[in-house]
Amino acid sequence: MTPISEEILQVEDLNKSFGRLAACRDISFSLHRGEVLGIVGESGSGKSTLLKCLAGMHAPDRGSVTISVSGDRRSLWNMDEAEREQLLPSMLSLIHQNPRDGLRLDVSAGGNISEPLMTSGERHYGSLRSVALDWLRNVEIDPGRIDDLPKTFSGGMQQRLQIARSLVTHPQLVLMDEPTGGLDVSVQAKLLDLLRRLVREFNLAAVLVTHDLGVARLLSDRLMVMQAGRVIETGLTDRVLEDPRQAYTQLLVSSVLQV
Amino acid sequence: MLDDLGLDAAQEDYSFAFLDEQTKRMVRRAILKAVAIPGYQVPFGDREVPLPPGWGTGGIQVTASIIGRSDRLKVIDQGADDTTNAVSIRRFFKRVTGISTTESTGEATIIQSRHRIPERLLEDAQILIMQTPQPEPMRRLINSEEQARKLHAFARYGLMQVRLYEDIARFGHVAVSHDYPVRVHRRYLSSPSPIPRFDNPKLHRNRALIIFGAGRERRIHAIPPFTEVRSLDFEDYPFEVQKWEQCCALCGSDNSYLDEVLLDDKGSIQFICSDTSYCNDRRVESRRR
Ligand SMILES: Nc1ncnc2c1ncn2[C@@H]1O[C@H](COP(=O)(O)OP(=O)(O)OP(=O)(O)O)[C@@H](O)[C@H]1O
Ligand SMILES: [Mg+2]
Ligand SMILES: [Zn+2]
Repeated sequence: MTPISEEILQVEDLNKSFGRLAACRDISFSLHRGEVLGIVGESGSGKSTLLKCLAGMHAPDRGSVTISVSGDRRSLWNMDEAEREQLLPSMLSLIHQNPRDGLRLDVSAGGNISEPLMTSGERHYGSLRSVALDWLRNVEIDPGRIDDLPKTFSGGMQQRLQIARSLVTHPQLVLMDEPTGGLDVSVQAKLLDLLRRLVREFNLAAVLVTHDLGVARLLSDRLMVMQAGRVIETGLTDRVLEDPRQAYTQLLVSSVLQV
Repeated sequence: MLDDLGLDAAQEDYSFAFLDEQTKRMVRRAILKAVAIPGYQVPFGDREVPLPPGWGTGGIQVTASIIGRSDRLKVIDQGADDTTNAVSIRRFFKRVTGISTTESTGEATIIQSRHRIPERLLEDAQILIMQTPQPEPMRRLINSEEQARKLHAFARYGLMQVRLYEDIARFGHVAVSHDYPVRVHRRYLSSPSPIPRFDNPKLHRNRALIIFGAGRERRIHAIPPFTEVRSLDFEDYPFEVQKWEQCCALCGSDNSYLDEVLLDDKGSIQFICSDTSYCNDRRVESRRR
Protein backbone atom coordinates (compact mmCIF):
# COMPACT_ATOMS: atom_id res chain seq x y z
CA MET A 1 0.00 0.00 0.00
CA THR A 2 1.45 3.32 -1.06
CA PRO A 3 -0.01 6.44 0.55
CA ILE A 4 0.11 8.43 -2.67
CA SER A 5 -2.03 5.98 -4.66
CA GLU A 6 -5.41 6.94 -6.01
CA GLU A 7 -8.39 7.07 -3.67
CA ILE A 8 -11.03 4.69 -5.00
CA LEU A 9 -13.69 4.82 -2.29
CA GLN A 10 -14.65 7.42 0.23
CA VAL A 11 -17.39 6.95 2.80
CA GLU A 12 -18.51 9.89 4.87
CA ASP A 13 -20.77 9.91 7.87
CA LEU A 14 -22.87 7.01 6.60
CA ASN A 15 -26.01 6.14 8.57
CA LYS A 16 -28.59 3.47 7.90
CA SER A 17 -31.49 2.42 10.12
CA PHE A 18 -34.19 -0.18 9.82
CA GLY A 19 -37.08 1.35 11.72
CA ARG A 20 -35.68 2.18 15.11
CA LEU A 21 -32.68 -0.08 14.72
CA ALA A 22 -29.54 1.84 13.74
CA ALA A 23 -27.62 -0.72 11.65
CA CYS A 24 -24.82 1.66 10.61
CA ARG A 25 -23.88 4.81 12.52
CA ASP A 26 -21.58 7.67 11.52
CA ILE A 27 -19.27 5.52 9.44
CA SER A 28 -16.42 7.23 7.60
CA PHE A 29 -13.38 5.74 5.89
CA SER A 30 -11.53 5.74 2.61
CA LEU A 31 -9.83 3.15 0.48
CA HIS A 32 -7.00 3.42 -2.05
CA ARG A 33 -6.13 1.45 -5.13
CA GLY A 34 -4.44 -1.81 -4.24
CA GLU A 35 -5.65 -1.71 -0.65
CA VAL A 36 -7.74 -4.35 1.12
CA LEU A 37 -9.86 -3.25 4.04
CA GLY A 38 -11.16 -5.96 6.35
CA ILE A 39 -14.34 -5.40 8.34
CA VAL A 40 -14.84 -7.60 11.37
CA GLY A 41 -17.41 -7.63 14.13
CA GLU A 42 -19.96 -9.86 15.73
CA SER A 43 -23.16 -10.98 14.09
CA GLY A 44 -25.61 -8.10 13.68
CA SER A 45 -22.97 -5.39 14.00
CA GLY A 46 -23.91 -3.93 10.61
CA LYS A 47 -21.16 -5.29 8.32
CA SER A 48 -23.43 -6.56 5.55
CA THR A 49 -25.65 -3.49 5.76
CA LEU A 50 -22.61 -1.28 5.25
CA LEU A 51 -21.51 -3.36 2.27
CA LYS A 52 -24.97 -3.11 0.69
CA CYS A 53 -24.85 0.67 1.03
CA LEU A 54 -21.53 0.62 -0.81
CA ALA A 55 -22.83 -1.78 -3.45
CA GLY A 56 -25.81 0.35 -4.48
CA MET A 57 -28.33 -2.04 -2.91
CA HIS A 58 -29.39 -0.07 0.19
CA ALA A 59 -29.72 3.71 0.12
CA PRO A 60 -28.17 5.16 3.29
CA ASP A 61 -30.36 7.51 5.34
CA ARG A 62 -27.53 9.97 5.65
CA GLY A 63 -23.95 10.38 4.48
CA SER A 64 -22.21 9.79 1.19
CA VAL A 65 -20.41 7.09 -0.75
CA THR A 66 -17.99 8.44 -3.35
CA ILE A 67 -16.41 6.11 -5.86
CA SER A 68 -13.85 7.03 -8.45
CA VAL A 69 -14.80 5.92 -11.96
CA SER A 70 -11.83 6.13 -14.31
CA GLY A 71 -10.55 9.19 -12.48
CA ASP A 72 -13.97 10.82 -12.01
CA ARG A 73 -15.28 10.97 -8.47
CA ARG A 74 -18.97 10.05 -8.45
CA SER A 75 -21.33 10.17 -5.51
CA LEU A 76 -23.19 6.86 -5.60
CA TRP A 77 -26.38 8.05 -3.90
CA ASN A 78 -26.52 11.47 -5.51
CA MET A 79 -27.36 10.22 -8.97
CA ASP A 80 -30.68 8.90 -10.21
CA GLU A 81 -31.33 5.18 -10.25
CA ALA A 82 -30.91 4.85 -14.00
CA GLU A 83 -27.48 6.42 -13.94
CA ARG A 84 -26.45 4.38 -10.92
CA GLU A 85 -27.51 1.16 -12.62
CA GLN A 86 -25.61 2.24 -15.69
CA LEU A 87 -22.41 3.06 -13.82
CA LEU A 88 -22.39 0.38 -11.13
CA PRO A 89 -20.88 -2.42 -13.22
CA SER A 90 -17.92 -0.24 -14.12
CA MET A 91 -17.58 0.99 -10.53
CA LEU A 92 -17.55 -2.19 -8.51
CA SER A 93 -18.57 -5.76 -8.16
CA LEU A 94 -19.92 -7.71 -5.26
CA ILE A 95 -18.94 -11.24 -4.33
CA HIS A 96 -21.68 -12.88 -2.30
CA GLN A 97 -21.14 -15.40 0.46
CA ASN A 98 -23.45 -17.81 -1.28
CA PRO A 99 -22.32 -18.32 -4.87
CA ARG A 100 -25.92 -19.06 -5.83
CA ASP A 101 -26.73 -15.38 -5.17
CA GLY A 102 -24.07 -14.29 -7.62
CA LEU A 103 -24.43 -16.92 -10.34
CA ARG A 104 -27.08 -18.09 -12.76
CA LEU A 105 -27.32 -21.77 -11.98
CA ASP A 106 -29.16 -22.60 -15.21
CA VAL A 107 -26.54 -20.94 -17.40
CA SER A 108 -23.22 -22.57 -18.33
CA ALA A 109 -19.96 -21.53 -16.65
CA GLY A 110 -18.91 -19.74 -19.83
CA GLY A 111 -22.26 -17.95 -20.04
CA ASN A 112 -21.93 -16.84 -16.42
CA ILE A 113 -18.50 -15.35 -16.99
CA SER A 114 -19.56 -13.75 -20.29
CA GLU A 115 -22.80 -12.13 -19.16
CA PRO A 116 -21.24 -8.99 -17.60
CA LEU A 117 -19.27 -8.45 -20.81
CA MET A 118 -22.41 -8.87 -22.93
CA THR A 119 -24.26 -6.44 -20.68
CA SER A 120 -21.57 -3.89 -21.34
CA GLY A 121 -21.92 -4.43 -25.08
CA GLU A 122 -19.48 -7.17 -26.16
CA ARG A 123 -20.95 -8.91 -29.22
CA HIS A 124 -18.18 -11.18 -30.43
CA TYR A 125 -18.82 -14.79 -29.49
CA GLY A 126 -15.25 -15.89 -30.18
CA SER A 127 -13.71 -13.29 -27.92
CA LEU A 128 -16.25 -14.01 -25.17
CA ARG A 129 -15.21 -17.67 -25.34
CA SER A 130 -11.53 -16.92 -25.10
CA VAL A 131 -12.00 -14.50 -22.20
CA ALA A 132 -14.13 -17.10 -20.40
CA LEU A 133 -11.47 -19.78 -20.95
CA ASP A 134 -8.76 -17.46 -19.63
CA TRP A 135 -10.78 -16.72 -16.54
CA LEU A 136 -11.55 -20.36 -15.86
CA ARG A 137 -7.80 -21.04 -15.90
CA ASN A 138 -7.20 -17.98 -13.78
CA VAL A 139 -9.53 -19.21 -11.03
CA GLU A 140 -8.23 -22.76 -11.42
CA ILE A 141 -11.29 -24.41 -12.94
CA ASP A 142 -10.67 -26.94 -15.72
CA PRO A 143 -11.41 -25.02 -18.96
CA GLY A 144 -13.03 -28.20 -20.25
CA ARG A 145 -15.94 -27.42 -17.93
CA ILE A 146 -16.79 -24.20 -19.82
CA ASP A 147 -20.13 -25.51 -21.07
CA ASP A 148 -21.14 -27.24 -17.84
CA LEU A 149 -23.79 -25.84 -15.52
CA PRO A 150 -22.62 -24.51 -12.15
CA LYS A 151 -25.14 -26.89 -10.57
CA THR A 152 -22.65 -29.64 -11.34
CA PHE A 153 -19.80 -27.79 -9.56
CA SER A 154 -18.64 -28.19 -5.97
CA GLY A 155 -19.19 -25.29 -3.55
CA GLY A 156 -15.57 -24.19 -3.86
CA MET A 157 -15.70 -24.28 -7.65
CA GLN A 158 -18.94 -22.30 -7.65
CA GLN A 159 -17.29 -19.66 -5.50
CA ARG A 160 -14.32 -19.49 -7.86
CA LEU A 161 -16.70 -19.17 -10.78
CA GLN A 162 -18.46 -16.31 -9.03
CA ILE A 163 -15.12 -14.62 -8.52
CA ALA A 164 -14.33 -14.96 -12.22
CA ARG A 165 -17.71 -13.51 -13.14
CA SER A 166 -17.15 -10.61 -10.74
CA LEU A 167 -13.69 -9.72 -11.97
CA VAL A 168 -14.09 -10.25 -15.71
CA THR A 169 -15.04 -6.60 -16.28
CA HIS A 170 -11.97 -5.46 -14.32
CA PRO A 171 -13.78 -3.42 -11.68
CA GLN A 172 -11.42 -1.33 -9.58
CA LEU A 173 -13.40 -1.96 -6.41
CA VAL A 174 -14.49 -5.37 -5.16
CA LEU A 175 -16.81 -5.91 -2.23
CA MET A 176 -16.79 -9.32 -0.58
CA ASP A 177 -19.19 -10.53 2.08
CA GLU A 178 -17.80 -13.62 3.78
CA PRO A 179 -16.41 -15.02 0.53
CA THR A 180 -15.04 -18.10 2.21
CA GLY A 181 -17.94 -18.74 4.57
CA GLY A 182 -19.70 -22.07 4.28
CA LEU A 183 -16.68 -23.81 2.75
CA ASP A 184 -14.59 -26.42 4.49
CA VAL A 185 -11.18 -25.45 5.73
CA SER A 186 -8.95 -26.88 3.00
CA VAL A 187 -11.19 -25.39 0.27
CA GLN A 188 -11.14 -22.09 2.16
CA ALA A 189 -7.35 -22.00 2.21
CA LYS A 190 -7.13 -22.52 -1.54
CA LEU A 191 -9.70 -19.82 -2.15
CA LEU A 192 -7.86 -17.39 0.09
CA ASP A 193 -4.66 -17.97 -1.86
CA LEU A 194 -6.54 -17.29 -5.05
CA LEU A 195 -8.09 -14.08 -3.74
CA ARG A 196 -4.74 -12.89 -2.48
CA ARG A 197 -3.15 -13.48 -5.86
CA LEU A 198 -6.00 -11.78 -7.78
CA VAL A 199 -6.04 -8.74 -5.50
CA ARG A 200 -2.31 -8.25 -6.17
CA GLU A 201 -2.47 -9.10 -9.86
CA PHE A 202 -5.21 -6.56 -10.57
CA ASN A 203 -4.17 -4.05 -7.94
CA LEU A 204 -7.72 -4.15 -6.59
CA ALA A 205 -9.23 -2.01 -3.92
CA ALA A 206 -11.30 -4.42 -1.86
CA VAL A 207 -13.60 -4.40 1.13
CA LEU A 208 -13.73 -7.76 2.83
CA VAL A 209 -16.39 -8.53 5.40
CA THR A 210 -15.60 -11.52 7.55
CA HIS A 211 -16.25 -13.21 10.84
CA ASP A 212 -12.94 -14.88 10.65
CA LEU A 213 -9.97 -12.93 11.99
CA GLY A 214 -7.64 -15.44 10.35
CA VAL A 215 -9.11 -14.58 6.95
CA ALA A 216 -8.86 -10.90 7.78
CA ARG A 217 -5.21 -11.25 8.77
CA LEU A 218 -4.33 -13.09 5.58
CA LEU A 219 -6.00 -10.73 3.12
CA SER A 220 -6.40 -7.26 4.55
CA ASP A 221 -3.98 -4.40 4.91
CA ARG A 222 -6.20 -2.49 7.27
CA LEU A 223 -8.91 -3.58 9.65
CA MET A 224 -12.08 -1.92 10.81
CA VAL A 225 -13.85 -3.30 13.88
CA MET A 226 -17.61 -2.78 14.11
CA GLN A 227 -19.88 -3.06 17.08
CA ALA A 228 -23.58 -2.21 17.18
CA GLY A 229 -23.39 -0.25 13.93
CA ARG A 230 -20.33 1.81 14.83
CA VAL A 231 -16.68 1.58 13.87
CA ILE A 232 -14.96 1.29 17.22
CA GLU A 233 -11.42 0.68 16.10
CA THR A 234 -9.48 0.93 12.89
CA GLY A 235 -5.83 0.55 11.93
CA LEU A 236 -3.26 -1.58 10.14
CA THR A 237 -4.27 -5.22 10.43
CA ASP A 238 -1.21 -6.35 12.37
CA ARG A 239 -1.51 -3.47 14.79
CA VAL A 240 -5.20 -4.10 15.49
CA LEU A 241 -4.72 -7.82 15.97
CA GLU A 242 -1.53 -7.61 18.02
CA ASP A 243 -2.17 -4.47 19.97
CA PRO A 244 -5.94 -3.91 20.17
CA ARG A 245 -6.83 -0.62 21.86
CA GLN A 246 -10.52 -1.11 22.56
CA ALA A 247 -11.73 -3.51 25.22
CA TYR A 248 -14.22 -5.02 22.74
CA THR A 249 -11.48 -5.65 20.16
CA GLN A 250 -9.29 -7.21 22.85
CA LEU A 251 -12.14 -9.54 23.68
CA LEU A 252 -12.72 -10.38 20.03
CA VAL A 253 -9.04 -11.06 19.39
CA SER A 254 -8.48 -13.08 22.51
CA SER A 255 -11.62 -15.17 22.10
CA VAL A 256 -11.20 -15.94 18.43
CA LEU A 257 -7.52 -16.08 17.74
CA GLN A 258 -6.88 -18.58 20.51
CA VAL A 259 -8.89 -21.21 18.71
CA MET B 1 -65.72 -18.72 -29.91
CA LEU B 2 -66.64 -15.50 -31.67
CA ASP B 3 -69.84 -17.12 -32.84
CA ASP B 4 -70.65 -17.82 -29.20
CA LEU B 5 -71.07 -14.11 -28.54
CA GLY B 6 -74.68 -14.48 -29.52
CA LEU B 7 -74.76 -11.75 -32.11
CA ASP B 8 -77.87 -12.36 -34.08
CA ALA B 9 -79.45 -10.29 -36.74
CA ALA B 10 -82.12 -8.98 -34.39
CA GLN B 11 -79.61 -7.74 -31.88
CA GLU B 12 -78.14 -4.60 -33.42
CA ASP B 13 -77.49 -2.59 -30.28
CA TYR B 14 -73.74 -3.01 -30.15
CA SER B 15 -71.39 -0.22 -31.27
CA PHE B 16 -69.59 0.00 -34.57
CA ALA B 17 -66.83 -2.66 -34.44
CA PHE B 18 -68.48 -4.17 -31.36
CA LEU B 19 -66.41 -2.47 -28.62
CA ASP B 20 -67.98 0.52 -26.88
CA GLU B 21 -66.51 3.93 -27.63
CA GLN B 22 -64.84 4.25 -24.24
CA THR B 23 -62.97 0.99 -24.63
CA LYS B 24 -61.86 1.94 -28.11
CA ARG B 25 -60.60 5.30 -26.89
CA MET B 26 -58.62 3.58 -24.19
CA VAL B 27 -57.02 1.19 -26.69
CA ARG B 28 -56.29 4.06 -29.10
CA ARG B 29 -54.53 6.00 -26.37
CA ALA B 30 -52.33 2.98 -25.71
CA ILE B 31 -51.62 2.66 -29.45
CA LEU B 32 -50.60 6.31 -29.70
CA LYS B 33 -48.24 5.91 -26.80
CA ALA B 34 -46.84 2.71 -28.29
CA VAL B 35 -46.18 4.48 -31.59
CA ALA B 36 -44.48 7.32 -29.74
CA ILE B 37 -42.14 4.92 -27.92
CA PRO B 38 -41.23 2.26 -30.49
CA GLY B 39 -40.91 -1.23 -28.99
CA TYR B 40 -42.08 -0.21 -25.53
CA GLN B 41 -44.89 -2.32 -24.05
CA VAL B 42 -47.78 -0.07 -23.11
CA PRO B 43 -50.22 -1.55 -20.59
CA PHE B 44 -53.87 -0.90 -21.37
CA GLY B 45 -57.24 -1.39 -19.82
CA ASP B 46 -57.98 -2.53 -16.33
CA ARG B 47 -61.41 -3.20 -17.66
CA GLU B 48 -62.57 -6.53 -19.03
CA VAL B 49 -63.12 -6.43 -22.74
CA PRO B 50 -66.25 -8.36 -23.67
CA LEU B 51 -64.46 -10.91 -25.81
CA PRO B 52 -63.48 -14.48 -25.01
CA PRO B 53 -59.76 -14.67 -24.13
CA GLY B 54 -57.35 -16.43 -26.46
CA TRP B 55 -58.00 -16.54 -30.20
CA GLY B 56 -56.21 -13.26 -30.68
CA THR B 57 -58.33 -10.92 -28.59
CA GLY B 58 -55.35 -8.55 -28.39
CA GLY B 59 -55.35 -8.25 -32.16
CA ILE B 60 -59.14 -8.02 -32.29
CA GLN B 61 -59.19 -5.17 -29.77
CA VAL B 62 -56.61 -3.23 -31.73
CA THR B 63 -58.39 -3.82 -35.01
CA ALA B 64 -61.76 -2.88 -33.53
CA SER B 65 -60.30 0.35 -32.16
CA ILE B 66 -58.80 1.63 -35.37
CA ILE B 67 -61.06 0.24 -38.08
CA GLY B 68 -63.24 2.71 -40.01
CA ARG B 69 -66.01 2.46 -42.58
CA SER B 70 -63.65 2.89 -45.52
CA ASP B 71 -61.24 0.15 -44.43
CA ARG B 72 -60.73 -3.18 -46.14
CA LEU B 73 -59.70 -5.94 -43.76
CA LYS B 74 -57.57 -9.01 -44.35
CA VAL B 75 -57.12 -11.66 -41.66
CA ILE B 76 -54.31 -14.20 -41.74
CA ASP B 77 -53.71 -17.19 -39.52
CA GLN B 78 -50.41 -19.02 -40.11
CA GLY B 79 -50.18 -17.31 -43.49
CA ALA B 80 -53.57 -18.47 -44.72
CA ASP B 81 -56.85 -16.60 -45.06
CA ASP B 82 -59.04 -19.67 -45.08
CA THR B 83 -58.30 -21.25 -41.69
CA THR B 84 -61.16 -21.44 -39.20
CA ASN B 85 -59.77 -18.67 -37.03
CA ALA B 86 -59.10 -16.28 -39.86
CA VAL B 87 -62.51 -16.90 -41.39
CA SER B 88 -64.32 -16.40 -38.12
CA ILE B 89 -62.50 -13.16 -37.22
CA ARG B 90 -63.13 -11.81 -40.71
CA ARG B 91 -66.79 -12.72 -40.49
CA PHE B 92 -67.03 -11.13 -37.07
CA PHE B 93 -65.73 -7.79 -38.31
CA LYS B 94 -67.85 -7.87 -41.41
CA ARG B 95 -70.82 -8.39 -39.15
CA VAL B 96 -70.08 -5.67 -36.61
CA THR B 97 -68.77 -3.02 -39.03
CA GLY B 98 -70.32 -3.78 -42.38
CA ILE B 99 -66.97 -3.09 -44.03
CA SER B 100 -65.55 -5.12 -46.87
CA THR B 101 -62.90 -7.77 -46.44
CA THR B 102 -60.30 -9.17 -48.77
CA GLU B 103 -57.82 -12.01 -49.05
CA SER B 104 -55.42 -9.99 -51.14
CA THR B 105 -52.54 -8.34 -49.29
CA GLY B 106 -52.31 -5.52 -51.82
CA GLU B 107 -55.98 -4.56 -51.44
CA ALA B 108 -56.14 -4.51 -47.65
CA THR B 109 -55.84 -1.36 -45.56
CA ILE B 110 -55.71 -3.30 -42.29
CA ILE B 111 -54.17 -6.75 -41.97
CA GLN B 112 -54.67 -8.67 -38.75
CA SER B 113 -52.27 -11.56 -38.55
CA ARG B 114 -51.09 -14.42 -36.44
CA HIS B 115 -47.70 -16.08 -37.06
CA ARG B 116 -46.81 -14.46 -40.38
CA ILE B 117 -45.95 -11.15 -42.04
CA PRO B 118 -47.09 -11.15 -45.68
CA GLU B 119 -44.40 -11.77 -48.29
CA ARG B 120 -45.61 -8.88 -50.41
CA LEU B 121 -44.01 -5.59 -49.31
CA LEU B 122 -46.44 -3.55 -47.29
CA GLU B 123 -47.26 -0.01 -48.30
CA ASP B 124 -47.52 3.38 -46.61
CA ALA B 125 -51.25 3.37 -46.04
CA GLN B 126 -51.40 -0.14 -44.60
CA ILE B 127 -51.48 -1.17 -40.95
CA LEU B 128 -50.38 -4.61 -39.82
CA ILE B 129 -51.82 -5.85 -36.53
CA MET B 130 -50.11 -8.84 -34.94
CA GLN B 131 -51.74 -11.13 -32.37
CA THR B 132 -49.25 -11.50 -29.55
CA PRO B 133 -49.56 -14.18 -26.87
CA GLN B 134 -46.51 -13.02 -24.86
CA PRO B 135 -45.18 -9.51 -25.42
CA GLU B 136 -42.30 -9.78 -22.93
CA PRO B 137 -39.22 -11.21 -24.66
CA MET B 138 -37.51 -11.95 -21.35
CA ARG B 139 -40.49 -13.73 -19.81
CA ARG B 140 -38.92 -17.17 -19.95
CA LEU B 141 -35.66 -15.90 -18.49
CA ILE B 142 -36.93 -13.96 -15.49
CA ASN B 143 -40.29 -14.42 -13.89
CA SER B 144 -40.47 -11.16 -12.00
CA GLU B 145 -42.46 -8.53 -13.87
CA GLU B 146 -40.81 -5.78 -11.85
CA GLN B 147 -37.33 -7.05 -12.68
CA ALA B 148 -38.19 -7.17 -16.39
CA ARG B 149 -39.44 -3.59 -16.27
CA LYS B 150 -36.18 -2.48 -14.65
CA LEU B 151 -34.07 -4.22 -17.25
CA HIS B 152 -36.06 -2.43 -19.96
CA ALA B 153 -35.75 0.90 -18.15
CA PHE B 154 -31.97 0.55 -17.94
CA ALA B 155 -31.70 -1.15 -21.35
CA ARG B 156 -29.76 -3.98 -19.74
CA TYR B 157 -30.20 -6.80 -22.15
CA GLY B 158 -27.12 -8.91 -21.42
CA LEU B 159 -29.35 -11.71 -20.18
CA MET B 160 -31.09 -12.09 -23.54
CA GLN B 161 -27.70 -12.20 -25.23
CA VAL B 162 -26.70 -14.95 -22.76
CA ARG B 163 -29.52 -17.03 -24.13
CA LEU B 164 -28.10 -16.74 -27.64
CA TYR B 165 -24.61 -17.48 -26.28
CA GLU B 166 -25.89 -20.66 -24.64
CA ASP B 167 -27.48 -21.81 -27.90
CA ILE B 168 -24.29 -21.33 -29.85
CA ALA B 169 -22.26 -23.09 -27.15
CA ARG B 170 -24.66 -26.02 -27.18
CA PHE B 171 -25.85 -26.32 -30.79
CA GLY B 172 -23.36 -24.28 -32.77
CA HIS B 173 -26.08 -21.84 -33.80
CA VAL B 174 -28.96 -19.86 -32.31
CA ALA B 175 -31.82 -22.32 -32.09
CA VAL B 176 -34.66 -19.80 -31.88
CA SER B 177 -36.91 -20.34 -34.90
CA HIS B 178 -39.92 -18.22 -33.91
CA ASP B 179 -40.45 -15.07 -31.85
CA TYR B 180 -36.79 -14.19 -32.32
CA PRO B 181 -36.05 -11.12 -30.14
CA VAL B 182 -35.36 -7.77 -31.76
CA ARG B 183 -34.02 -4.41 -30.68
CA VAL B 184 -36.37 -1.64 -31.86
CA HIS B 185 -34.98 1.81 -32.71
CA ARG B 186 -31.75 0.82 -30.88
CA ARG B 187 -33.64 1.00 -27.64
CA TYR B 188 -36.26 -1.49 -26.50
CA LEU B 189 -35.84 -5.23 -26.67
CA SER B 190 -39.10 -6.51 -28.15
CA SER B 191 -40.92 -9.64 -29.08
CA PRO B 192 -42.00 -9.76 -32.73
CA SER B 193 -44.80 -12.21 -31.76
CA PRO B 194 -44.43 -15.85 -32.86
CA ILE B 195 -43.53 -15.15 -36.46
CA PRO B 196 -40.77 -17.31 -37.97
CA ARG B 197 -37.37 -15.64 -37.84
CA PHE B 198 -37.69 -15.63 -41.62
CA ASP B 199 -40.06 -12.68 -41.19
CA ASN B 200 -37.82 -10.65 -38.86
CA PRO B 201 -36.04 -8.71 -41.63
CA LYS B 202 -39.44 -7.51 -42.84
CA LEU B 203 -39.83 -5.56 -39.60
CA HIS B 204 -36.80 -3.43 -40.43
CA ARG B 205 -37.77 -0.09 -42.00
CA ASN B 206 -41.18 -1.42 -43.01
CA ARG B 207 -43.36 1.22 -44.70
CA ALA B 208 -46.45 0.11 -42.78
CA LEU B 209 -47.30 0.75 -39.15
CA ILE B 210 -47.07 -2.50 -37.19
CA ILE B 211 -49.05 -2.85 -33.95
CA PHE B 212 -48.72 -5.80 -31.59
CA GLY B 213 -51.71 -6.55 -29.38
CA ALA B 214 -51.47 -8.94 -26.43
CA GLY B 215 -54.95 -9.62 -25.07
CA ARG B 216 -54.25 -11.73 -22.03
CA GLU B 217 -51.28 -9.61 -20.96
CA ARG B 218 -53.07 -6.38 -21.89
CA ARG B 219 -50.08 -4.83 -23.57
CA ILE B 220 -49.61 -3.06 -26.85
CA HIS B 221 -46.32 -2.33 -28.55
CA ALA B 222 -45.66 -0.92 -31.97
CA ILE B 223 -43.12 -0.44 -34.70
CA PRO B 224 -43.80 2.80 -36.55
CA PRO B 225 -43.01 3.00 -40.30
CA PHE B 226 -39.32 3.11 -41.28
CA THR B 227 -38.10 2.17 -37.78
CA GLU B 228 -34.78 0.41 -37.43
CA VAL B 229 -35.36 -3.14 -36.16
CA ARG B 230 -32.38 -5.42 -35.53
CA SER B 231 -32.46 -9.07 -34.61
CA LEU B 232 -30.05 -9.87 -31.79
CA ASP B 233 -26.90 -11.65 -32.85
CA PHE B 234 -23.12 -11.85 -32.49
CA GLU B 235 -20.62 -10.24 -34.84
CA ASP B 236 -19.15 -13.62 -35.68
CA TYR B 237 -22.58 -15.38 -35.67
CA PRO B 238 -24.72 -12.94 -37.64
CA PHE B 239 -28.50 -13.32 -37.71
CA GLU B 240 -29.72 -15.56 -40.53
CA VAL B 241 -33.15 -16.52 -41.82
CA GLN B 242 -34.38 -20.00 -42.65
CA LYS B 243 -33.59 -21.20 -46.16
CA TRP B 244 -35.01 -23.99 -48.30
CA GLU B 245 -33.45 -26.13 -50.99
CA GLN B 246 -36.84 -26.32 -52.71
CA CYS B 247 -39.00 -23.82 -54.53
CA CYS B 248 -42.76 -23.53 -53.98
CA ALA B 249 -44.38 -26.47 -55.80
CA LEU B 250 -47.32 -24.27 -56.82
CA CYS B 251 -45.84 -20.92 -57.85
CA GLY B 252 -42.12 -21.68 -58.05
CA SER B 253 -41.12 -18.94 -55.61
CA ASP B 254 -37.59 -19.39 -54.30
CA ASN B 255 -37.71 -16.66 -51.69
CA SER B 256 -40.88 -17.19 -49.67
CA TYR B 257 -41.48 -19.03 -46.42
CA LEU B 258 -42.43 -22.61 -47.28
CA ASP B 259 -44.67 -25.06 -45.45
CA GLU B 260 -44.05 -28.75 -45.75
CA VAL B 261 -47.32 -30.48 -46.65
CA LEU B 262 -48.09 -34.16 -46.65
CA LEU B 263 -49.60 -35.26 -49.97
CA ASP B 264 -50.71 -38.79 -49.15
CA ASP B 265 -50.37 -41.45 -46.50
CA LYS B 266 -47.28 -42.83 -48.24
CA GLY B 267 -45.32 -39.92 -46.86
CA SER B 268 -44.82 -37.94 -50.06
CA ILE B 269 -44.32 -34.30 -49.27
CA GLN B 270 -44.41 -31.00 -51.07
CA PHE B 271 -43.22 -27.53 -50.19
CA ILE B 272 -45.62 -24.67 -50.80
CA CYS B 273 -45.82 -21.01 -49.83
CA SER B 274 -47.24 -20.44 -46.37
CA ASP B 275 -48.58 -17.07 -47.59
CA THR B 276 -51.53 -18.16 -49.73
CA SER B 277 -52.33 -14.68 -51.03
CA TYR B 278 -48.77 -14.26 -52.28
CA CYS B 279 -48.80 -17.70 -53.87
CA ASN B 280 -52.15 -17.05 -55.61
CA ASP B 281 -51.00 -13.68 -56.93
CA ARG B 282 -47.91 -15.25 -58.43
CA ARG B 283 -49.88 -18.00 -60.11
CA VAL B 284 -52.46 -15.60 -61.55
CA GLU B 285 -49.64 -13.42 -62.86
CA SER B 286 -47.78 -16.26 -64.52
CA ARG B 287 -50.96 -17.45 -66.19
CA ARG B 288 -51.47 -13.94 -67.58
CA ARG B 289 -47.96 -13.88 -69.01
N1 LIG C 1 -33.50 -5.63 5.53
C1 LIG C 1 -33.46 -5.48 6.89
N2 LIG C 1 -34.57 -5.13 7.53
C2 LIG C 1 -34.57 -4.98 8.87
N3 LIG C 1 -33.47 -5.15 9.63
C3 LIG C 1 -32.33 -5.51 9.05
C4 LIG C 1 -32.26 -5.71 7.63
N4 LIG C 1 -31.00 -6.07 7.31
C5 LIG C 1 -30.32 -6.10 8.47
N5 LIG C 1 -31.11 -5.76 9.51
C6 LIG C 1 -30.69 -5.65 10.91
O1 LIG C 1 -29.60 -4.76 10.97
C7 LIG C 1 -28.61 -5.22 11.89
C8 LIG C 1 -27.30 -5.39 11.15
O2 LIG C 1 -27.42 -6.47 10.25
P1 LIG C 1 -26.25 -6.92 9.29
O3 LIG C 1 -26.79 -7.97 8.39
O4 LIG C 1 -25.67 -5.73 8.65
O5 LIG C 1 -25.23 -7.54 10.30
P2 LIG C 1 -23.87 -8.33 10.03
O6 LIG C 1 -22.82 -7.62 10.78
O7 LIG C 1 -23.66 -8.51 8.58
O8 LIG C 1 -24.18 -9.72 10.72
P3 LIG C 1 -23.69 -11.20 10.30
O9 LIG C 1 -22.28 -11.30 10.78
O10 LIG C 1 -24.59 -12.10 11.06
O11 LIG C 1 -23.82 -11.34 8.82
C9 LIG C 1 -29.15 -6.52 12.45
O12 LIG C 1 -29.77 -6.24 13.68
C10 LIG C 1 -30.16 -6.97 11.44
O13 LIG C 1 -31.18 -7.72 12.04
MG1 LIG D 1 -23.60 -10.25 7.26
ZN1 LIG E 1 -46.06 -20.37 -53.85
